[in-house]
Amino acid sequence: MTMGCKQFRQTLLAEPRTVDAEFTQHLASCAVCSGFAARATAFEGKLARALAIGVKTSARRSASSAAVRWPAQHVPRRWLALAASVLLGIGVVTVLWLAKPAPSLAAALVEHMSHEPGSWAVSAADVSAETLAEVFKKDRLSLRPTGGEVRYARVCGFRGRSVPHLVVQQNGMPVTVMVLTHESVSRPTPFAEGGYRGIIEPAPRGSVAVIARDRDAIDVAQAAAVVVRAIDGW
Amino acid sequence: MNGQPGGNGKRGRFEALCASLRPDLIRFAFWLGRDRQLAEDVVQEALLRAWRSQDMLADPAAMKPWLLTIVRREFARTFERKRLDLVDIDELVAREEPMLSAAENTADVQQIAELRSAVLRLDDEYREPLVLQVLMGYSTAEIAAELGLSTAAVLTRLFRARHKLRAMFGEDTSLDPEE
Repeated sequence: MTMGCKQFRQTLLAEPRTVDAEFTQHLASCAVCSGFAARATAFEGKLARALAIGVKTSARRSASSAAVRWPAQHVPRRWLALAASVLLGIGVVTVLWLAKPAPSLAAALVEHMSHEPGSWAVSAADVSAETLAEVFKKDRLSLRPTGGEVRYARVCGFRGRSVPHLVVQQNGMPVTVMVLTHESVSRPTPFAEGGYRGIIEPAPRGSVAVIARDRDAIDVAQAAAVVVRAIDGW
Repeated sequence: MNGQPGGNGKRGRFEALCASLRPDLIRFAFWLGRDRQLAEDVVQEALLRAWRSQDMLADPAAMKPWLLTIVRREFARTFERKRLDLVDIDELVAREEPMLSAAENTADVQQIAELRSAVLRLDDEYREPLVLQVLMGYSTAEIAAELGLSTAAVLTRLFRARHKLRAMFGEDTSLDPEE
């Protein structure tokens, strides 16, 4: 279908840098829209300049703090003696700390949930196939439609890696899915903390974590099994 | 560990990269919060958070979006901590005049300043995706992922943002040339 003037202008005002073939074809064939595009391009240039405001440090900051103020690494000498005397006491505490188990994978997942509360407030529309493909691209995986309706998808930093983070609608309930190809578990590992219930399900490559809010009545184990089966490319 | 911040080694590279990205992050935070000092504070705090968790960043190429996400979260935290006052755009423009007055000596300097004022008047929902696209160079898909929106919703907001700006400047906003 050929792009009309209305669609051309809508596209131009939403994505001025698009290189869509139909867009380019309309631009070449419609003199009126070509003029419109030329004016829009000029306006876009001004907009870009307008947004690139000068970044001078405000008067409240001194010149020495104009750059990033990193935590100081030099410790004044007078503090070294005090620090040394405290070290022994800290050592005792450290031993106790070391006896404490490191934060579990489950705890890290729950912590991650708290960083992205907005992920649950997803739109009613499905995530586009392009976005989904992009999210899974790095892991060379893909998700079949049987995995559920994907309402949120992005790549998140998690324990030093970039991982796909999805919110999938299953049986009318949202569940968060995190595909952890770098985290292996030997068996399904359920957990419940911080207002969430979840399970870390072994996958052919790494694992898949499925997390639901406590208030949502959903079988996370079943949901996890569905998702693992729906992922291609393991 | 190095003796000097910004010295050799991994930390030095991290800090140098942060410093190079800082201006764009401050610009983004300014357009997000419409307050220069708030922007500087938010970015400073965000960079410290990033510094503390720099080991979380597996791919240095992803540093810019990673930092931007931290800035957005830090801004949200700040917003939660202190209820920010409603913004009077005229007062804001007067207060931030040094930052908003175009530094360039061009014929359209006045128009650029007016355009900045117009962007500040856009609702947050239109201003943020516009800034991400034009200033930060994000694709529609990246904006959608960052804001937790569908790509269709992002396209609608971007269209409306430009439509409103063009209307403010008396530009042609007709979608159908026959109208």
